[in-house]
Amino acid sequence: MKKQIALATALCLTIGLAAGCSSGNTDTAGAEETNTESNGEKTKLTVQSWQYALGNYKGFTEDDDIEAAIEEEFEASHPDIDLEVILTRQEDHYNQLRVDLSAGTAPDVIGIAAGSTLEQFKTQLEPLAPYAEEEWGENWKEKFVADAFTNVEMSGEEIYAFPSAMSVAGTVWYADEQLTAGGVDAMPATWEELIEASSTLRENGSIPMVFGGQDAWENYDMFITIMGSINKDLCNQIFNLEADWNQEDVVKAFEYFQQLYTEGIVQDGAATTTIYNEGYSVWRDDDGYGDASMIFNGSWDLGSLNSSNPYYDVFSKRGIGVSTLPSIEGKDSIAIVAPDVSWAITGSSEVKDAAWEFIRWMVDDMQQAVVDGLGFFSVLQDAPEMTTETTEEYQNVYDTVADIIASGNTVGFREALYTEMSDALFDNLQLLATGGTTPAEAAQAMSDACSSISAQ
Amino acid sequence: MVNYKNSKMLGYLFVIPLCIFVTVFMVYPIIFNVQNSFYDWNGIAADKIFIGIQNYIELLKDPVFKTVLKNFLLFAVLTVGVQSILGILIANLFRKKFFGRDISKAVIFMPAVLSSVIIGQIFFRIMDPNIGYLNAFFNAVGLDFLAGSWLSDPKTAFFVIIIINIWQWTGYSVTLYYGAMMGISNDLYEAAKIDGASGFQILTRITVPLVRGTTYNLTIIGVIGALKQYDLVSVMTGGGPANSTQTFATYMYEAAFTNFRQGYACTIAVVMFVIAMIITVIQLRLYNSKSIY
Repeated sequence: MKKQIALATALCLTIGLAAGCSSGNTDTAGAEETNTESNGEKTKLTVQSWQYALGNYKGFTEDDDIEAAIEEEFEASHPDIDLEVILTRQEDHYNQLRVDLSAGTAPDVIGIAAGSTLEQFKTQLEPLAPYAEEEWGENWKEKFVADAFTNVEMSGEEIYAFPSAMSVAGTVWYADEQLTAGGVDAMPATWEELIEASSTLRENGSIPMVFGGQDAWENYDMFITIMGSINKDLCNQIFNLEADWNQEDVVKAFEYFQQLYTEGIVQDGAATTTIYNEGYSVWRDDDGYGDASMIFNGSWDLGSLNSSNPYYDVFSKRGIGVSTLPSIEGKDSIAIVAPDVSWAITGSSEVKDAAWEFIRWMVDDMQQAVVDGLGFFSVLQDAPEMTTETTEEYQNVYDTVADIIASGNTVGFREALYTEMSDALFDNLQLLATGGTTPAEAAQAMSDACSSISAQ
Repeated sequence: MVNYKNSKMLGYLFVIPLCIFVTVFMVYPIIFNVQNSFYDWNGIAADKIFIGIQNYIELLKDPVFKTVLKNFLLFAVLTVGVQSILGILIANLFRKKFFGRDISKAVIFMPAVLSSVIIGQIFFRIMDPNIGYLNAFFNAVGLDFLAGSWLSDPKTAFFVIIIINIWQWTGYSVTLYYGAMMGISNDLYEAAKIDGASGFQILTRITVPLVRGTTYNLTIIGVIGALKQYDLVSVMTGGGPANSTQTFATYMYEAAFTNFRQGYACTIAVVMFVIAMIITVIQLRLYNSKSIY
């Protein structure tokens, strides 16, 4: 009797295991049926991205709230589409996509960062230029700001993603209160003043500039800003493999980068600090206080100046401002104006028309929401004016950033297209930070790394 | 019709679920992994490019991989060695009853049950050179020369991680050694004392040899742990600065998910697998050896 029970249990386990392995296929088949457009039924559309891609939409900060708000807003104008928005951590988003793309269960629309990430995923994505031409005509690109597609077009002539919001990176946020308390009258205007100010601040027990040296993207932002400030054309060329890295101005850029550490401009331990949240918590804690006078950050932090924040009263009194990097060798510094997030349609989607409608809605209809408080800037040439009430501090910083964009002294990408280039650049920037290489050696190493890319 | 009295058939039926599980979730992934190591593949595209042993050749020339191997050996030798020595010494102390012994045992074991991620985050903040407690403490007691950026110096970062790992897992060693020591007959100790053996001689000539089975086990566990080390490194340094704290797991993750080089990551995984197999063979031979107590 015991053996019969044991055998029955073993057989149940086997059947259960087999059923569990096949349940994914059943669900997929079911999903395909419901995804298919049919008369009188809503079209099921799934969108997946990371929370930041949709910002603090209407002031929401929790994923569930933002998902529900976007779904409600979209479905109000698209009653024939049943939208499901899934927000997750950025890393989890990409890792999950790999699995889903292999399994054929990928969402219809995905948020994606233009640059090397888009380059890797593009074989699984739908070219979108035909949809744009049908929607807006042959000259559809004129609808968008100049830098909206710089990053996207690095992946080739096909347009695989459309940006919905622009951000400005490569800027320095400063707190007048900390600067003054540290013995510095104002935000340094030149690199030499920056070095001197950093020394003064340290002598007075203050932290000069917070920098997330462990974050690859922070390193790229900083290097591209320095390189573009020294020689903007060469900066564009080296990242597009149109010029050799082993040149005087590139070596110079590496020298200035290394000075961030050797001259004490960035905080101690910057090489192994991530900007979020270790570095940022030194700039602003939960109560609004901070120990740092400056932070290398971008326009996405505009939301910190909203009066709805619990720390606003303390934070706003610190005299927060934004500036480009201090001038190097008398030249105006550039900033990076690039799409912060773009939207793409997966090639396996069975509802591409509905998917395109979501993307069109995000890059066109939703631009007022983008401008009204997400902390981003519109991708449209005819950008809507901000209609929400903002604080004086928010408006000042916003105006400064808007002036930077309007100046045209900008570069339109935040990372290299090629992962080999990105990897080599990050390694060399870290070696410069730790004294493990020289600027000349770094330039040669980058030249060697890019030679292997060109040879492929 | 199955004859239930024929237990052979019955035995096969019982092991079928586990065989399916092992094949699907262990054997197949290993084969798939080895297969991918011969391809140039980003883990996303439908097509893979066969490149033969190019990934292995590149791995052998990769300076970062040399750092990974060095870190693995350093981690294994230092953590296993120090934890074994501390484990034996502390467990030996616990053999004698004293006030607060039981609480001490619990306190020493506590770090072993904590999440490595949480431990890493806490120590990262303690060691922050700007606002961390460690430097503040050193400055306060006049040891300014010890205050520094330990985690952002390539020469010291990995040793900091090793020390934190030792702190976390010494309690585990203590617990295992204590259990082994409880199995040693007191007659041996009494006889040794009668013969005039000192405490050190008793420890080295009686206790240590009789707990060598535990030492072998902890060595194997420690070396496997060194091979898999990810949490502390990822949280505290991310493999930096300048790749100086890269381990097998962190470098494999970076190759696969940051650099989109799935084939190269699989190559690293194959090397890990080979090392783990070597360790397993050594472990099995030790277990089958009659020299282990």
